[in-house]
Amino acid sequence: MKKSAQRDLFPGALEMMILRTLKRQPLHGYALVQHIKRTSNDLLQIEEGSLYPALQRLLKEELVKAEWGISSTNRRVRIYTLTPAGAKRLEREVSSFERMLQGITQVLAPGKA
Amino acid sequence: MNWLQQLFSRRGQYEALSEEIQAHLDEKVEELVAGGMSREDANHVARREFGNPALTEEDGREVWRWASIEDFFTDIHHGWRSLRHNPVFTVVGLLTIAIGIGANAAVFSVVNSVLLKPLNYPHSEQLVSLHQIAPGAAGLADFENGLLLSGSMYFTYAKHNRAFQALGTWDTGVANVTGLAEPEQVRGIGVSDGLLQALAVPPAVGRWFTAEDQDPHGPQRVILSDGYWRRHFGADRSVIGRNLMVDSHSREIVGVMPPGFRVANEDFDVMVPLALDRAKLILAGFGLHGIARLKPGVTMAQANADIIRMLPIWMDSWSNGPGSNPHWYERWKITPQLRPLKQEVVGNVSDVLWVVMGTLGLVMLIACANVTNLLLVRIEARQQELAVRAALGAAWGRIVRGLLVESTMLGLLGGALGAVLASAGVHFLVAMGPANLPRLQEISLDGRTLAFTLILSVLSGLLFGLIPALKYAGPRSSLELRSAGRTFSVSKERHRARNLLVIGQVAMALVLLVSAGLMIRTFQALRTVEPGFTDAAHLQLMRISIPESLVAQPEMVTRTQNAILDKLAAIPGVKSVGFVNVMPMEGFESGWDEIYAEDKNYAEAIPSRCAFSNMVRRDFCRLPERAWSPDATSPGAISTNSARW
Repeated sequence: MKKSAQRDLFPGALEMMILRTLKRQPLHGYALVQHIKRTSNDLLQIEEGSLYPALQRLLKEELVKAEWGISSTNRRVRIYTLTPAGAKRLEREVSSFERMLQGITQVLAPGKA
Repeated sequence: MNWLQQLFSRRGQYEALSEEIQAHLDEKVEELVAGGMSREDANHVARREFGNPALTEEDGREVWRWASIEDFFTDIHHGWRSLRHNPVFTVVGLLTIAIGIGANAAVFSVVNSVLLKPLNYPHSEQLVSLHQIAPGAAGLADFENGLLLSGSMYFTYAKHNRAFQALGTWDTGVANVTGLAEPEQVRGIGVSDGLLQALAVPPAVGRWFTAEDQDPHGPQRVILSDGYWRRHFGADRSVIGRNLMVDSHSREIVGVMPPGFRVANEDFDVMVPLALDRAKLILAGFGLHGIARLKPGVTMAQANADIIRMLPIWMDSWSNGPGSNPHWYERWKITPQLRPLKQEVVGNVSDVLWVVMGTLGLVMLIACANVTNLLLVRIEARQQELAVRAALGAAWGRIVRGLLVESTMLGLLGGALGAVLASAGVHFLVAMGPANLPRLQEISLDGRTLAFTLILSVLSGLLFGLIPALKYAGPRSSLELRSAGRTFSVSKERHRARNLLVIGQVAMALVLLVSAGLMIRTFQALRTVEPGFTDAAHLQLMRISIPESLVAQPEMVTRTQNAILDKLAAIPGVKSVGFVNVMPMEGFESGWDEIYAEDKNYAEAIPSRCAFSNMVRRDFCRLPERAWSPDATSPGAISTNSARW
């Protein structure tokens, strides 16, 4: 079971980032990965390809939907949009992630232990 | 998107994915080239940053795959191939299973049709047989049919009951139909008013009998069975209103019953009204079968109580003639024992059928054990293959599943073959028509039998697949790679499963053998029972009935019978002929007569002198060697069963 993309990320992190990005605006795959890379200041080492299996999973769970359209650079691309179910999932994931992060931060915080 | 749509849209998803990935790479390259990189370098960088496109595509597709189902189809494919490549094993296994399942399915279809399915009447659970016993009647009425109803009883019950929606009686007999083509003796049934109403099966054509048709002095009517109607009238609907000569009475045809209609288990050709004459009825004459339909909500106990309430009314309302005491029957202790009509129809055959079903269950287990053994032997030969698969990383659960799929396929194929065998067997059984199997015509392979066969096939497939699968495809099977390759010696442990199976098989076979032996002995004992006559092979039986209307005076009966006997005796090869009312070993029909000794005085008519009588004429007693004394042939003499006097 090697999902090379998730080697450095915890499971579900990529999906969460995709959902968050799509919440701002519908995007196609290439724009999506560029946006994530740019926003993270290239701190996250993501294989661009790993985005696609994650998108397929989200499609299957009907958290996003895809439609063919024309990109700003005049290409035929598949544009992904967040569904209401996806928005709800994102909310839940983010709040649970924040709790987890808080926990980790507290454990890691120097001097308090 | 539900799973079905997903299944069909999958190919579209795959194509979209590869197009998308290509577009992604193209866009990346364009961007890099626009940034001043050479196209070659750009290609290289795009690839590096993307990762492996083929793997990505594969991972993406994986999301849409319905893994378990597809693996299942793979297993079926493997199983089929493996069965095909071992034809000898497959054929032997299939035949064993087919015979086992076929026999079970055939008997189940009989059990289902005879015992489980409700009778062919609307709301048949409301129908009861008016069964009653008379323990005080000193052996007169304690046989299978109990005490049948007399005509007066029927009228009393029909008039005074509170428990039944409808109530009627019936009796069978033979009837002579003349005037069509050749004179024909047909199966007749007489029914009282209320019987058809109780059974509630509407006629296919025409109408039921009404109360008016039961008038002994009114116009005479007849209803035909579907079979008779088709045979003799070509299913002509205009037959209603035409006349049929039944026992030399012209009867108007008023209706035709639908196919498969029977009264209890009695098939008939023509149905006539019993037309009981109230004026001539006495208390006695217990010869009618009663059927009633319970009112909704009335229990069997309440209905029994209702009959008990009516018995004194019966004795008060009728008599056995002047000077007789109607309450004499209190000594008989007549007790109603109503029972479901189905029980009456099925009779005591249910025990036999369940025994046969159980026996065949054992046969099925033996068949399963046999196939298990075959599979065990075969799987030993496949050790190497399984070990290699395990070594290559196949999960052992997956291997077990593969083996189970294979054995279940064997079971299902065997089951299909078995269903064919069962169908042939059931047809054979119905064609053979054993006399003592009720509801014979209803026996067929229906949906329930097929479901039973299917379940049996799957269960047996799993049963005989599970033992070898668990034994050899367990987690330790990788160890066998070495040993199985090098040596074929079979360890003691491996023998144990097979030994256990053989022990079980022999034990079950022994049980079957003993039971079969006992049955054969019973059968043999039955064959050696003295029937009261000898040389059965040379006895020919012929039934005739002379309609009362043809021979009004008793002398005419004697003369007609003599004429018939003379003509029969004149046939070359006939040594002697005789008449009898009831054949030896034919059971008792109710022929009851009061018998008095001439030299004794009787204070009152004592019906306990009632005897089952049998009329015998002419040479009859030369046929049986010892049952009747020879002087019975002279007129006016009787011979009796010595035990009664």
